Order: sequence, then structure tokens, then C-alpha cells
Amino acid sequence: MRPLDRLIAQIDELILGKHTQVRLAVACLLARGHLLIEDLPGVGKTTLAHVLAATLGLRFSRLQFTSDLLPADILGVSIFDREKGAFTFHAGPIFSQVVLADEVNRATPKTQSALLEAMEEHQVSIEGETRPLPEPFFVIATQNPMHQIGTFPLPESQLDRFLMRISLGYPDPAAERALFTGRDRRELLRELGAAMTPEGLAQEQQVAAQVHAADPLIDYLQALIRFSRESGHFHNGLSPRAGLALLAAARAWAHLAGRSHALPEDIQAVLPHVAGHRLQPAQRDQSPADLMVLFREVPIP
Amino acid sequence: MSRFDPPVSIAGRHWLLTSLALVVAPFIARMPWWLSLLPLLVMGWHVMKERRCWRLPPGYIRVMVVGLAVVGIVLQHHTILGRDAGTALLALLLTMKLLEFKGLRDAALMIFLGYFLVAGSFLYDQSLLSGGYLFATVVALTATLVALHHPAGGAADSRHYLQVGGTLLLQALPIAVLLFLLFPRLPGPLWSLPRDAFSGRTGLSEDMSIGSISSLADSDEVAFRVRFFDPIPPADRLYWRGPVLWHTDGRRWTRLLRYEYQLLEKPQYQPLSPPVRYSVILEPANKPWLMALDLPGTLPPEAEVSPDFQVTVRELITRQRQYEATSYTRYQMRDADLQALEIGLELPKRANPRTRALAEQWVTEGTQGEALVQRALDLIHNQPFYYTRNPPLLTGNVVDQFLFETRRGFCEHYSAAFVTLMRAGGVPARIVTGYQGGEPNRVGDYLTVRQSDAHAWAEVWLEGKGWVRVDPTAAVSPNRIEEGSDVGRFSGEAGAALLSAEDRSLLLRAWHTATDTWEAVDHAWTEWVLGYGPEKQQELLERLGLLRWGWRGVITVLFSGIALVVLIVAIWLLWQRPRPPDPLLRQWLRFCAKLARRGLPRAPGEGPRDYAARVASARPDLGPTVMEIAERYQLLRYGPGGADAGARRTLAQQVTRFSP
Repeated sequence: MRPLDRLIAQIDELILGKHTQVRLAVACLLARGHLLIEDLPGVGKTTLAHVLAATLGLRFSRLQFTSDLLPADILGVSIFDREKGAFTFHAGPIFSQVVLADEVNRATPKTQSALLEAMEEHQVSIEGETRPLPEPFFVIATQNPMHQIGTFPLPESQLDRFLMRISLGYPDPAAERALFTGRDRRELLRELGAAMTPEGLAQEQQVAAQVHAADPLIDYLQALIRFSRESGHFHNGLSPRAGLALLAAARAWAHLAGRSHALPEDIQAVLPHVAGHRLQPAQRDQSPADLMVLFREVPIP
Repeated sequence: MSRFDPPVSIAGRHWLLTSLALVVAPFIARMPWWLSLLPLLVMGWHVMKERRCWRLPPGYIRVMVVGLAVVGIVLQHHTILGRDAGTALLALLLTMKLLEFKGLRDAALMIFLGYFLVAGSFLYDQSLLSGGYLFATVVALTATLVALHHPAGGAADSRHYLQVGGTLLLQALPIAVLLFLLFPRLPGPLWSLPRDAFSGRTGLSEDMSIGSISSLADSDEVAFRVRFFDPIPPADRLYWRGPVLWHTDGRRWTRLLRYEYQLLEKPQYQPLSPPVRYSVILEPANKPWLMALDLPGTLPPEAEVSPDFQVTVRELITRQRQYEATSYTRYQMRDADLQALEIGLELPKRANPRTRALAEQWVTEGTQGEALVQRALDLIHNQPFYYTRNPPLLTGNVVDQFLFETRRGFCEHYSAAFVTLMRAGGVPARIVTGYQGGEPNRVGDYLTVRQSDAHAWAEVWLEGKGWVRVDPTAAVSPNRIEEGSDVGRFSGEAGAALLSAEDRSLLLRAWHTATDTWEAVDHAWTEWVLGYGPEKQQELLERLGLLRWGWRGVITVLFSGIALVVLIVAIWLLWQRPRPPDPLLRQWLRFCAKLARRGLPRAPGEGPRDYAARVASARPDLGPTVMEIAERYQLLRYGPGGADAGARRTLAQQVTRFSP
């Protein structure tokens, strides 16, 4: 059994009946992207983040976003140390390898953008000093569905910073039953050992980035991007950055499946999660999920 | 759940607007400027909307704009029915559709309405030029349909759409030709056209008022075309006879009344030259006249010849009409009806006293009969009479004014003055209107007579000679002719000289060859396409020997012909099926085609593994083979190693052996 398979099996033991979402989350991690989980409270968003961090043996911190959260609460502050007679920097929770940003849309835009900037740059500038963030650095943000009172929805330009957006949804009855009858998750979590070292993860990430993408696959990728721009279904098409994200995610997905080359199916598997939050329907009466189905019409060259 | 109307791709929207503009352009051109503003504004708004992503206007604005369009049509045409108002309204509403254009459904509706309006355009103009334009429009419409239904994201561009659209139409062309030739033709139109369909046709009229027109309409429109079976008579004998005018009030000249025609007898005549046989294609003029060379001999059976030798038919000519006739260009009339001579001497008592005085003075000087005719012609020739197409307006005693004061005019003035003089001098005379001359087409070997060739001349009755044609306009001294180019034809012998003079210049000759060629093509179009009526069809079918089995045979041939065309096109299409350049893809498509024949087609967006899994679950017996082929294909096509020849061959063999 490959370490990656062992990793996924271990997560599956705790997150019941969410095999695809678990794989997507791991693929996102392999592609060095950040993950946005959008769902109702109580479906296991936080647990997923916890389990991911624990099985990878990564340092984990959790940030609960509220409307009065300030950028300094995330990044950290310099405090005057009277004994030393100098300022010392107290690193904020962002200086972790896995950061769970819970309910990110409850914070003010100013705080949100501090987080998103750190995500993009992999470093933090505080009081003129640039501090690098640890490697690997993986942000899992959760977001309640829109239109709840007291939320600041992430603007489209910032949604682009997340490689994937997934939602967990309710578990199926069998999985839910297992959850009710089985042991307490928190207990299980505490017992959970690392299935992979950070070095192992870095190596897997490197291999995933080298998955072969043949010319016909790039043709297909371009056809999909052209469809998003020219079909008239969407307000704006996918950007080149979105194209790169799609390719990286497809490579990671192929690597998860144990293949050294990516297939059109890999792109199709990750497409709804990579493109879904980057596209707006041109007609307001359509849901984005409906539109993802439309990509199925694009012929594979 | 709301109705899902898929949006139209950007290329599709561009095509839609282009073909829409092509469709409505001829209709907009016929609208008054204030009405044409409306569609132009709507189209301009649409362009801006596409650029700036504006929203569609709310319902009440759309209703208002449509209301404006209807009001505009009613103001212009006083109705919304009929050819002009109906088609204009349709064109307006088609452009208005842009105001609520959302998705594919609206686009398809607009395209089909566009096809309908193209057919409507033929109600106005069936010429070759307009045919070409409308054909281009149909190609654009079809290309738009292709673009609308083309999946976006494919590598297709506008040239591809045009190509597909054009190919589709070309494939339909043989069927159209077959239907055109063989589908039973009914005499007369299948449906009755609205009454206004024939208005606005120019041509000769039933009367003539001197001096009321200050400028001769110089219309280049073709009046009729003639093909001679005998040598073309010289230009000075090419007088095409139309209505003959007898009655006058001094200013206005009119034809005989209906009962007078019944009273008169047709005079006998003796031909002095062999008959000239020719075939005429007459453009519709909305008048019951056929044009024949002076003097008409044998005529088509439905035609009648009046006592003053005008050729008439019973109905108005509203469609192009072809007929054959013979004429005698030299003849002598034997005698004339006394009643006719009486009418030929009538003059209003008070009008034009100076003219009458002049004629009476000549008579008292002893000039009579033929001498009087000559003296009048001499007067025109020697006195400063000018030929002009823009004469001054005349009022009161128009002939007096013309003869003694202005002395500038065209054929109507000269013929009316001459006939007045003759009648005052006791010589019976009448005005003949019609066309003179014609332009020989050296390419098509026929004569084109245009509305600008319309002419009026005189006939006088001389003792012993009967009615004799006199053309007083030709008596105008050649050096007093303004805008000479056209008038050369009036002065008898000049017609032939005109050509030789032109031949000197190479450039002019090339120009004339070009115009003649175009004329000939247009003539062929008129004769063989527009003129293909029941008679010609009968003739063709007889020549092909198809009528032996009656109409049933024709229909059989028609449908088997269509079936044959479809078969040929189908075979050709199979032959021409695009072959993908990638040999691996070719093998894969071959494999997919085999499965498709077993009812398991691959969706265009279905990857090899997904497809194989689906087939395996539908047909477990095929599972292992299908999986193996799909695995090998995906590895070869998307794998890193680059496909080696051996592996490719294995795949090809596997696909060949595969038989679901």
C-alpha cells in the first residue's frame, strides 16, 4: 500500500462516507493549493481539517473568524519585552502548517484580505519585516452558505486564491448510522497517528507536479477554457490562472490514482471543484452546479 | 423550474446580427428615412448592448417601440396589410426582436423569419443582381444556423461556418434545380398577390399633356427585349407602336373612346417589304398593351389589333410576357375610314389661334397635302428649334407658345405641334406613341428597348398613300440638339453611325462589351429562369420525352431524381468523412464507431476510461476486451513514453479484431 493510499484510508475511517471529498482535499494539498469548504455547520468541516493535519503530522492551528477579528489576531504582534528592553514578535496562529480558517466570511474584508494575502505570498509582512510561513502551508477555510445575516461574502477575485471549493453535504444513512453507533470522533482523533511525514508529503507534491500532461490533454484543457469564454453561459471565462489551477489539480488527481500521466477524466473529476467558484452564470436563474454539467458537452479532442 | 434556453455563443451572436442586417437592408432602403431610423437605432443599441453588457429593456419599453413601428407603418402606408406595409412591418418586427433576444430559441426564430423575408424580397425585385444578393443572404443565414448550433470551445471559426453553410446549400442545389424544372407549373400565380404589388411600374401612358413635364424621365429600366429571327431592320424603321392619340383639347391628347373603336374599320394595307419575325419579352407595365414593330402583321392568338394598329390584350400585363410576332416595316395603306379622317381633323375651336392662322396662311398660299407636310418639317429644320430633354414649362396655348416662342422641346412637343399644324391645314393627322430604336446587344444578339427610348411621332393621311408616318422630331437640325448622345437615334440614319463612332475608342468598346455581356446574362436569366413558365416547361418535357407517360411519369422522374441526388450526396459524405490526423485517435474512433453500431455510442465529452466502464457495465461479456483496448489507448495517447510503433500496431489489430 502506498503511503498516500494509507493516508486516505486513515482519513476515511474518521470521515465516514465522504471518500470523494477526502480525495479532493488530499489532491488539493498535493497540488499545493488551498481549500475552501462551503457547507452548513455541523457536517464535519472542522473534523476534516483536524484529521488532515493529524494524519500528515503537521502543526495545526485553528482560527475562528468573527466580525471583530483583526488582522493582528491572525498574523501576530510585536510586544515590548521589558526584561530584554526590545520588541519581540509573538507569531499569530497563521504560522502553522495547516490553518483552519473557520467561517471565513464572518470576518470583515480587511481581516479576510490579510489571510488571503498570506495564502498567496506564503509569507507575512509585519512592521516592515517579512517573515516566511512554514512549509508546507495549507489553508482550509470554511464558509457558511451565502445570505446568512452578518456575513461578508468573499469577493470573486479572492475566491480565486482557493484552488478548490468543495462541499461535504449530509452523510448517507449508513455512514450516519456508523457515526452514531461508533466511538467518539474526538477520542479517535486523539489516538490518530501520522501516516506520513512532512518530508514525505513534500516528495509526493513534487511527484504530483511532474505528472505527464500529453498534448491531446492540453488540447482538451484549452477546449474547456475556450468553452467557458465563448459559450455565452458565463459572465467571464476562466482565467489563465484558473487554467493552471485546473491542470495542477488534474495532475494531483492522476497521482492519487497512481498514474504517471493525466487523463481527460482527471480534468473532468476536478473541474466542478476548481471552476465552480470562479465562474458566474450569465443568466441569473441558473445555478452554478447546473453549469458544470455543461462542460460535459465539450468534445474530447 | 424555469425553461432553460441555452445562451448563444459570441460567434453565433455576431453572425446573427450580420445576417439580420443583410436580410432587412433592402426593406430599410425602401422605407422613408424617418421610419428607417427605428430599425437602425435598434440595431445600433444592440451593438452597444453586446459591447457594454447592457440589460434588456423592460417590457413596457418593448411594447412602446413595437407600437411606434406599427404607427410608422400606418402613417406611411395607411394600412398594415398588403405587400409594402406587410413586409416592412415584418422587417421592423424582426429587428425589434433584438430587444428581447436572450438565447437560442429567439435566435432560431429570427433566422427562420429571416428566410421568410428573403422570399418576400422577391416580391419587389427578381433581377439577377437581387437574386445574387439574396443568395448571399441565405448563405449567411445558414452559416448563422450552423454557428448557433456549434458547440462553443470547438476550434471552429467564421470561415468554417460559412463553409458548412455554403456546402449545405450546394448540396441542396441539385434538388432545387430538379424541382424548378420538373415540378408542375401552373399558369398564373399560385396565390394572388396584394393589389399594390404592381404599382410604380413605369411605361407609356394612355394620354399625353404637352408642357406639363419640364424634364423627361430618363429611366434606364428595360421596357422590353427583342430577338429577331430575321436581320434587324435599320434604325430608322425601328418604330415600336403603342397607343395612338386622336382627341385633343389643345393641350392634352387622348385615345379614341371605346365606342369609337367599334365604329372604325381597320384599313387595308399592302406590305412593301418581306415580313420580319421576332420574339419579344415584355416587362410588366400594368397596361393591356403588347409592343409590336410598325406595322404589326401576325400576332399571338390572344392579341387584338385596333383600327389604329395598336396591339392589345384583354388583361393588364403584370408579369413578364413573351410572345412572337411578325411586322412589315414598309407598307402602304390603301384607304381609310371616313369617320377616322373626320376625327383626324378635329381641333378645339379656341385653342392655339396662331398655329391655326399659320396653317391657314400656308393653305391660302397654295400649300396642301404633301407639300404642307414638307413645309412644316422645313419650318422645324430651318427655324431655331432645339431638341432638349429639359424644356421650359408651357401654359395656356401650349402649341402656340412652343412654335413661336420657346422652340425648345422633345418628341411630345414636336409631334403635338406638327399634328396641330396638319389638322389646321386640312391634313388628317394623329399622334403615335411608343418606342423608337433600341440598343443592340452584340453578345446576346438581341435588342434592348428601355423606357428612355419612349417616343412620340405623327401619322398623316395623304390622298393615295393612306396613313404615312412622319417623325417631326427627326427634322430638328442636328446642330441644335442638346445632350446629343441619345438623340442621335431620332435622326434616322444616325442609329447605325452611332456604333461605328463608338468603336473607335478601345476603352469605350471594352465598356460596351462589358455592359453588353451583363445585359446578355440578365436577358438569359429573364428568358430562361424567370420566363420558365408552363409553355416552356411543356416544351422541355416534350424534348426530353418525359411527357410520354403523362404527368405521373414526370412526378416519378422528379422524385427518383431527388432520391438519386440524396444518394449521391450521402455516398460523397461518407467518402469525405473527415479523418483525424492522429492515427491513435483514428483507431479509437473506429473502436467507438463499432460500439455505437451496437447501441453504445460514446458521448463527445466522455473519456476512454469512463466510456469503457460504462460499456463494461452494459455488456459484461465485452468488459475485458473493452477495458483492455481503452487502457492501451489512454496509455498510448496520454502516457509519457510516447507511443512506439509496436504498441500502436497492437492497438490497431485489437480494434480490427474487436467485433461486439
